Amino acid sequence: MTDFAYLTITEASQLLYNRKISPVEYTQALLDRIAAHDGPLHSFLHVSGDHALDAAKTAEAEIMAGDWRGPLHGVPYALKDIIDAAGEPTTCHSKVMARNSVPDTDAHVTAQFRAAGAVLVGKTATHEFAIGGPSFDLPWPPARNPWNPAHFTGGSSSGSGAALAAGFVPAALGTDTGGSVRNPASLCGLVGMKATYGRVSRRGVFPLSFTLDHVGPMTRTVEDNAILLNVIAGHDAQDPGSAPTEKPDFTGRIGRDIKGMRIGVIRHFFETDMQADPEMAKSINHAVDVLRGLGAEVSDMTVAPLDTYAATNRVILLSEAFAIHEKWFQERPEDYGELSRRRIMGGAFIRAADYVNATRVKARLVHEFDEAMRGFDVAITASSMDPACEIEDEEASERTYGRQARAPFNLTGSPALAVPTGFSESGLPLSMQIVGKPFDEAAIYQVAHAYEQATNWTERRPPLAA
Amino acid sequence: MNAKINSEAQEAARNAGLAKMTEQFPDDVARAFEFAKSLAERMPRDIAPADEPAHVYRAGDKEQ
Repeated sequence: MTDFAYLTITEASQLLYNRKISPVEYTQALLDRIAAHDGPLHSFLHVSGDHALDAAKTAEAEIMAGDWRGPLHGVPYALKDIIDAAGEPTTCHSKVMARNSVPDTDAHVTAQFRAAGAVLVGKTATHEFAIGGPSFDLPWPPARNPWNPAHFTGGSSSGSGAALAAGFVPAALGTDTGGSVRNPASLCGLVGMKATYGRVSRRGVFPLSFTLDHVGPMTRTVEDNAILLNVIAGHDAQDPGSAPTEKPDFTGRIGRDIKGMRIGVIRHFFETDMQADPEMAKSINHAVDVLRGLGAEVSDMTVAPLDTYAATNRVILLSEAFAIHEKWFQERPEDYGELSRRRIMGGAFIRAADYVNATRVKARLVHEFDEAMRGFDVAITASSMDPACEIEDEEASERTYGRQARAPFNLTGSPALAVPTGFSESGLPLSMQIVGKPFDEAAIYQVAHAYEQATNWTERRPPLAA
Repeated sequence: MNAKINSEAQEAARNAGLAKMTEQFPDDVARAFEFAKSLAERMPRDIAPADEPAHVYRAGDKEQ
């Protein structure tokens, strides 16, 4: 009997194509698992059981008729609940949206999934409007980490992270403005990609910051992640930020060796600009040794200080976020959770000159980072500085919120992937980031896959699966 | 936070149209104000006069 919970997309796709399993039994098995295990985890805000089974029946009929659409045909997936799916509520995990939020059209990425024959099983928890969390004063509780439900998932794509780690879906989408795909990927032992700015359309996704927002795939393995990016990437003329570039096959370099590839380690981000937790730092250094052992040429690289990136990211992010939320902040501030109010409201107090100067600094940082990357194929650095803190420890949550090295790559627009690098002594996932040159996600996947194959971190399962 | 800065924060919020916010959530206003000030102070200041912002508009560089 097939254990559906932790099938990779690659495995499931083979089984579906060869009619060894049906999309209906696969979807039903995952819906049953969600019903049995999501109670304490709160991954999902909304499970679309009937719609999912209808979509699975359609996929089954098509596959049986020999009309196979590709590797996501009949594969269940979940969407962060700021991404529209026609006929399903988009709540942004907020009372502000809860009353009036059933779109009649798909986001561009959802339409891509639909065209690929994938099966949407539900919408996942998020930090309120992708910024305010983890919060206990919202209409729904925050998602909890399947590796230890007393701990935080990371965010803001928190429910997508929890749902993947718990074996509820093999694929999910998140969004990433200061690291919100890569943070839950890091803290839940997953693979999360923020592709190059412009690579994936943001149309139909509730915005947080127009110039920093990205939509990204979250999966349990590197190859699965590349498969998802193949589906969602591509130019969308209706997204002003979408890049009119060719889309390669992102799986194309997976399985190639990395001998001679040049890897730069941005060590100062996690050793001096910030000091990562010792277990986190040790796991990254071990990963660097593994990559060197696989034949990569590894050396340190230096870019601008982490705090310059962090402050510039926040000035832009908060200014743009406040512009989006200003009217609601004026009229109904009580409908927001406390963390959203505090974080977004900062944008009301940033001077216009500071915002403009932040975009000028951004241009300089983009140029400097491109120059620094000239001698390298990819860079490695930390993602989160710490393993997941306890979710109800408000002080720890606040303290670790900014202890990350992801925001620089929202600013530069560079592609960046979070990859598991092991586990802490307490059994919580550790991770690193692999960063690439603009539109060279394939090189990142090549290195990440080589590392993944040399280790076994993505094969471990959280305790609820035992 | 001292009273002067708190007062400045509440006034800035009212000027931004956030009167309801200052009435209902004055502590959130004060914390957001302080954070915004600290962010601006962390930004680099050595920007040359001719340095352009990111995302400068270029006519016709996108498909329509």
